[in-house]
Amino acid sequence: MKNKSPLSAATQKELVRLVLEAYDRDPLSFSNLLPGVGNILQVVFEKKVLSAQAFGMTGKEGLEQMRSLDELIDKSNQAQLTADEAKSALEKCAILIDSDCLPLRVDHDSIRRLLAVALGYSPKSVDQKTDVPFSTEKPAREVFVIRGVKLILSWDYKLVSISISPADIKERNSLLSFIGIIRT
Amino acid sequence: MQTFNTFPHATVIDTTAFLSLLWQNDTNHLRAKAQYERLLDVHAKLYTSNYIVLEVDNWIQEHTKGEIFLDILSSTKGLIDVVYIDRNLHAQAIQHLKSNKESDATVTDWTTVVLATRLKAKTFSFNQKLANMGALLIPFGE
Repeated sequence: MKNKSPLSAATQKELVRLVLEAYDRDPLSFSNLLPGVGNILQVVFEKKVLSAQAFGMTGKEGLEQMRSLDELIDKSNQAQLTADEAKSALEKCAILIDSDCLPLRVDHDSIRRLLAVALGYSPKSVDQKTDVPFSTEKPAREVFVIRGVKLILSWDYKLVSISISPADIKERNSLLSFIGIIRT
Repeated sequence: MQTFNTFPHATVIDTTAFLSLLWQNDTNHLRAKAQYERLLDVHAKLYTSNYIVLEVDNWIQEHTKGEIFLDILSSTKGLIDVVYIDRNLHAQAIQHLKSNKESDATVTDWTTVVLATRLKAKTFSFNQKLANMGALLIPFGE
């Protein structure tokens, strides 16, 4: 069938890119504004979550983890997060990282703030390799949440300890040094 | 106690991703930066190929006169592993190219897809063509 759209293929592609970006940034607000499109994208993103093997999450469980994490990050942005909530948010981050579906909007700074609340201090302030215990559960998994900071978790993703490597934290800046060096 | 990192996050970085990272005015610069930061944060194993290095270097030489991409790459202290495309991988890419004549993909595009498949890696790229050629692209939605 002939494509009768008045939009060029390039414009259509750009529109799709912008819509996906907007949904990825804030799925809830997007779905409130455009519920029809939001429903379609939810199915698309559910499929992505469904592909996750690590925790055997269903699509709905994955989306629930994301919604719940979004709420905790909002609280963190308003400096209203408790240490227990920060710990819970980090566990959700680990699940979503392991499933390869932590949205990019949950960025380095957001995770760094969660760590600071959970630990009571910034990981950057640590000057030697440190392991901070949180529970006596049996460690089974490890997930890097930011460079140089690894969560040690039980099989069901409960936080056992946080391992901090100051050398890896410092290394991050040099690994980013080439970003945006061309300004022409 | 033995623990394991359940997701290896192996990723091949292609020409479009490097250019978006390097060039501050690129449309995809901020998204590329966010994706690269995530890859650094999860300690992903990062790869590129010598073909991609040449493509990026040619672009830089044409547009900036002075920067050498291999010098830029060396600032990452070996974090990004440059895989040399061997005879076998090159031949596979040519075979795909010949059997997909209607596509405007290049040899480098095909070597990237074949390399990513061989490494069981995702491909960090803004070239949508690669998704149609079988690559699993990140950032998702591009």
